[in-house]
Amino acid sequence: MTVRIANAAGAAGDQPDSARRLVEHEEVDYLTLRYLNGPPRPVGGGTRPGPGHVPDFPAVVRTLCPAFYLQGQLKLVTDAGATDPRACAEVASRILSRHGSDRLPVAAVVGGNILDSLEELLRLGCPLAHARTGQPLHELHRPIVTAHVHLGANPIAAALAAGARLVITGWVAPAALAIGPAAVEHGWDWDNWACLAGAAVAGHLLGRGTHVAGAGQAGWEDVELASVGYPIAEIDGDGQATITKEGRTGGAVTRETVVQQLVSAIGDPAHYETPDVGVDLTTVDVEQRGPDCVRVHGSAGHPAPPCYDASLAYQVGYAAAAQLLVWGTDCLAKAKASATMALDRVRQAGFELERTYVGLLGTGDAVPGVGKPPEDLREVVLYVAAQDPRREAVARFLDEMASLPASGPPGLAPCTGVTGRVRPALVHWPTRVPKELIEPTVILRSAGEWAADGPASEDAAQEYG
Amino acid sequence: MSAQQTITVGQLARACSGPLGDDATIGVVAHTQAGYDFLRAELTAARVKVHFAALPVADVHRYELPRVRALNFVLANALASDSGPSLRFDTDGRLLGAAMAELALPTRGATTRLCST
Repeated sequence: MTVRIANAAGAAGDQPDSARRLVEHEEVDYLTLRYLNGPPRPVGGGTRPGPGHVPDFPAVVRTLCPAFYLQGQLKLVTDAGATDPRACAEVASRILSRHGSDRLPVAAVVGGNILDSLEELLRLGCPLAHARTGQPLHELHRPIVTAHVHLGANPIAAALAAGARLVITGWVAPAALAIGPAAVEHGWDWDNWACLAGAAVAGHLLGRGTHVAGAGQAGWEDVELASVGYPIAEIDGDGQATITKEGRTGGAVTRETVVQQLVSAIGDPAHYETPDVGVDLTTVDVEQRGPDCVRVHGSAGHPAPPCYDASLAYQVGYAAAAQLLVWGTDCLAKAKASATMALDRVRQAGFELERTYVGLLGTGDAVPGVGKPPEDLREVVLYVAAQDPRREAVARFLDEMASLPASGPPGLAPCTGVTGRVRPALVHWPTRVPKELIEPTVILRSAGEWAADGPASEDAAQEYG
Repeated sequence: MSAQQTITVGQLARACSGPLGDDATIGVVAHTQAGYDFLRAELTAARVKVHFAALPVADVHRYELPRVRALNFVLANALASDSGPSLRFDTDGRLLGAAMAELALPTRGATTRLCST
């Protein structure tokens, strides 16, 4: 018996229609949406304090309503809950209820957000020391603004075993989104290291999204990327997996693309650690069996570490970046002069910015020191970023950059984009928390019951139908 | 540039990069066994550190996955600093893989044997 698990999002901001397309063309047992990655960034950004869920998710739920209704076997597991899985479950449930799925069992996995528990954890003897420097948290005299542990598959499996068809978590180890479903379907014990390791590898690969089918790597010209498909893992009872993709899509799943993703976003491959199992990726064999059919087997597993990884962050101020197109045979000199001019004007307004960065995109500055800049450049993008403890200083910086086309040298044109906003400047504090101090909890209710809760998120429901 | 023959990483392998916490990682997958053996000998952590010295990179660790002919490089703490988030354009290190592909290594005349056709 094989479990078919697909992933239709490899990161926040991934293609919005991929989930709907996938479940319309393929019958899968589980669909995952993996949005969260890396150290904390303000999720749901901007200036309005919104619910702490990934902004992409409600619209995707809307597109999945028909599939939930028509495909009784379909279950969705996602980390879209970010800092508030409960609020995310409410928003999703409002949408589901409006479209005939008010009885759908929806689970929120909570207990990962430890922002309100930091004092308690310190009191219980957990130093929350910096994972790299060893500095204990109490020596950092800064308020922590976000804090969460990366949970594992166990609560996901519990939610599914209790009948959930939509499981919403906060930050979890990426592989957990697949380990949970596989463990439930195959009835694995939590010390079945070999099987869990195989599912962990499959989950790691699924989390790479369209890169499994050739996006984002050399060889992309040889496959049809415009319609690139998302990956599907078929996981057997012994943990071995076949990696493929949704049919009738572009891209290609090959031994090369799968190996490339195997070695992506990993540290020491002999110790690929998840909260449920540790994997030695150097033991994994990858074999192409046919077109878009790659067998992954041989993964050796070992017991999981005793602690959860945790990500804390403290704010050091605000940051923003701006981009301007600079044109002309003198574009390099002009760009540098324009940056200096804007920063001088900020200084004249009374702000000496704490940190600044000036880059000339088109000269190779995005990866400095690699190769020579081209000669005879006619155009370049001036990229300037600034950070300062004072919000008004960073806002002034953006104003001065925005005014350069009007009040600076000739041949400047603005570039629009999300970089032109003042955002919190966060420093990541990676640490570890013993598992026994964390209590992941599953809250399972019908969509109708979730939707009946709370006055908030009416806007979200209206916005996403 | 000396008269010595060189070959780039991109001619022998594909390379992908991205973030892992505050580190940047670059996975290098060789096209052939001969290419992997060559890269294992020549694409050292020290050479990678020099290639990316202007980023800057404090430390580079290299790991080997011989079963799949791959090397994994971890550029420690390349994406963050204690004074704030990276202000550079490529805050996720996504461009480093393409930059790694341009790294030239001395071949001592073995080029034709190394390139896959």
